[in-house]
Amino acid sequence: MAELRKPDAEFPAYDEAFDRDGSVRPVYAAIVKRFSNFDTAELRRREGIIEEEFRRQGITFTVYGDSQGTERTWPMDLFPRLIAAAEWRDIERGLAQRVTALNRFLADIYTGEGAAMADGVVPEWLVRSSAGFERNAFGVSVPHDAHCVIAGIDLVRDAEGQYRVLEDNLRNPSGISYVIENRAAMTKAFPLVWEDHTVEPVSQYGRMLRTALESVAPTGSGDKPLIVILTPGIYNSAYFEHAFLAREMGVELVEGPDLVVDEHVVYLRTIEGLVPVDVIYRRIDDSFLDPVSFRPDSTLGVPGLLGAMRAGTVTVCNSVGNGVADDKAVHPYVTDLIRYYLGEEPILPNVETYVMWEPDQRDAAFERLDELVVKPVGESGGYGIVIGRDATDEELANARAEIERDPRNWVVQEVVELSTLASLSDDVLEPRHIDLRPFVITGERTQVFPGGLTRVAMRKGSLIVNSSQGGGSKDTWVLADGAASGTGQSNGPAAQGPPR
Amino acid sequence: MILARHADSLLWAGRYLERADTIARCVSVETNAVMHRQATEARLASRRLVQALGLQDEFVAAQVGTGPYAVMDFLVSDDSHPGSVVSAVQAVRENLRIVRDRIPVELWEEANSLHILMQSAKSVGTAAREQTGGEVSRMSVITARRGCRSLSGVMTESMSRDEGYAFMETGRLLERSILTVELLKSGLGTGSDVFDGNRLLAFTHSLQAARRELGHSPAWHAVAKFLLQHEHLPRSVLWCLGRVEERLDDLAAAAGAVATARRRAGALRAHLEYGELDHLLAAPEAELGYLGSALAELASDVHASTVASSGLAEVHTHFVRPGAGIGGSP
Repeated sequence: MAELRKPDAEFPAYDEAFDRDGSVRPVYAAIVKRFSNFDTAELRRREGIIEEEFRRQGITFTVYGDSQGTERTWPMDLFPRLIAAAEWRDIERGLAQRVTALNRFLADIYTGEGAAMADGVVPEWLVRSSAGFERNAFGVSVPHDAHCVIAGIDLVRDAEGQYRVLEDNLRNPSGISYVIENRAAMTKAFPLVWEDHTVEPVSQYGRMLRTALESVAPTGSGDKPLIVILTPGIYNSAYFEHAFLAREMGVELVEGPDLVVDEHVVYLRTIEGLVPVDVIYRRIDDSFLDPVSFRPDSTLGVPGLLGAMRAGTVTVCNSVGNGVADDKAVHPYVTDLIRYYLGEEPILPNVETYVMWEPDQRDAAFERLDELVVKPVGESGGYGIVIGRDATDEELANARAEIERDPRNWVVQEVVELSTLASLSDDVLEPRHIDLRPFVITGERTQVFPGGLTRVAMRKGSLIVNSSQGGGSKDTWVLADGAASGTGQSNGPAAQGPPR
Repeated sequence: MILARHADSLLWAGRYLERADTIARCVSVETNAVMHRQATEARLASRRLVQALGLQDEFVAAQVGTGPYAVMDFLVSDDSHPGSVVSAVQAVRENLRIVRDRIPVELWEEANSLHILMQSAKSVGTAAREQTGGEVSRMSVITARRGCRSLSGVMTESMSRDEGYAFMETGRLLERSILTVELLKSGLGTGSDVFDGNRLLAFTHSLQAARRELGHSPAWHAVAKFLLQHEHLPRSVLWCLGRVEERLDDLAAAAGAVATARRRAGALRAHLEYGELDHLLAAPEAELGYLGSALAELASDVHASTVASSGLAEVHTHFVRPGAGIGGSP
């Protein structure tokens, strides 16, 4: 039998499956029992099924600068992540609350009065100096104020088991396709594990997103607005996802040169001639969107697109300039923004974050920099991060110097001992650190997609979960109410697997 | 509705699918025919296939080794030129990848799986392949033929008969016609480089059908008439052109720009259907030359029709489309 290792008793992180004295948490009882019955060879065999499935289907992502060629098979760990119904309800409420406030903030900046800045909730200069702040977005309104239709909010769980928001991704969050494909692969490799659980399905994403995109179409688009996904093309790291979403929604997948703007209307070049477009779900960055308004060397975008947005003939999702609200230096203010716009207490706390232009916070951070995490505000994908306890004195001195040179460009966060969960490594199932990226969709209303992408750091002790840096993923189950029997017994014939 | 760019990708996916299938079939026919001969003779035999497929320039440029199986390897596993099976399969896969959101999932998966298998044979390396006595390339041919059949099957049985299908099917039929005409040329003349009638029929997957009608050793002339003018054989040029006309009719409502291609297809079909072929084939080089260039122009018209309506100039400048090679290109 494969060994299922419990976390060390003195290990500081919260383990999802085992409590401090080493007994299985009830929600994981059935799945732990199932996995305890597999030997290593059996687990490896099933892992092979999953890998072959992903390879055959071409479910890949791209690692830039990788000499192995551009496509790599999506890595998925066998042991699923489970979230109990009640726990998920809190997360769901917290996420909806947060994204609602962030959308209000974006509307306030770009089409409103700038009230939050005027009232001193967020410093005006901080907003204006953000790399994501976009002058061109002034006056570009979106139906229902849905500036961010698709948000991906990165959550981590601290040593006490409390979920905290690590980062907001309000521009082009990716990963949803892997959530759905992980479920499909899990179903093929472990057809029987579903007997013990009732799991919220994930197959409805295409419909959910399409409905949201239809709801933000400009007035006068008719009942069947023409929606397209704008991709940079087959060499982009997330091309698989772009094609996947086009297929799931039943919309066209287009590249910049397929679109043309005439008299502030965006058209699609088809064999029938030019057809007007209502909604563009773009998966290219702001700066490449329109060479007229942004980078003139961009060949990915559409000249004149911003003018069309401004004229209100087309809705572009996510809207332009969202980067100001997911700026890592704005992050510490989001909980206050929730209080300010919604008059509610934030349900999900932030990871404790210090801003470096406040002398008190900076001095306090400098004193214990070797216990903290230093992050550049402009990077993503885990790049440029200095983890204090792993850093040399020289690296810490460099970090201090960099911060002093440009305090706006850095934040310092408390280390969160990301929670752990059993993952197949060598020949044992061993705790590895994980995080969670749920997806939040805003159209007429804000909805949270059940579960999300669980990412796992496959190296022991590592906190870096990014797939570009060797991280893996896990199928993530949100259990339906009363579903975890905790006994490993089948729920009987009524028990349902996922619909795909 | 279909994007002009997607229409173009499907057209080329169809062409490369047919090309991969035909080259693999030719190699397989030729290999089986010479298998029991001596190695040098086998090498000579595959050399003339290189010529028949119009790959002489690529052959010289590739500096193919002197081993008995090096030529077969060049035709099957060498991706340095666009005329090999592995290159054609890769081109099918790349073109379908561009449209993977709109084609049946199985079609994409079959193309992807075939590509992966062909790549693994390629990665063995020329020298290692040579040492196996051509075994690796022979297995690749079997894999490719099976994969192409499976792709055609999925295409026929699960693709909606929309504009995308019309373009992909047109691509296949045009490529098939072009290659048939090219292969017929290699049966002209005398000497050891000339293929006999049976070989030409086997190359074009028509041997069984022809045996019933033409007997066991048909002359070139009879084979040419059979492959150009047969009404019911899906490999004949006349049959293919009839289907191309139907597909272009399907497209006419959507894309006015197919009118030019439609006219040319009709004229060419009428030439084969009503022309006095015995008389025309009295000067076979001239007739095949005419057919070859007319088909190339037709292919170019169809390609142009994907872009004409939308004013799309050349969207593929950033995308290297392999295979300007054999038998006409845009």
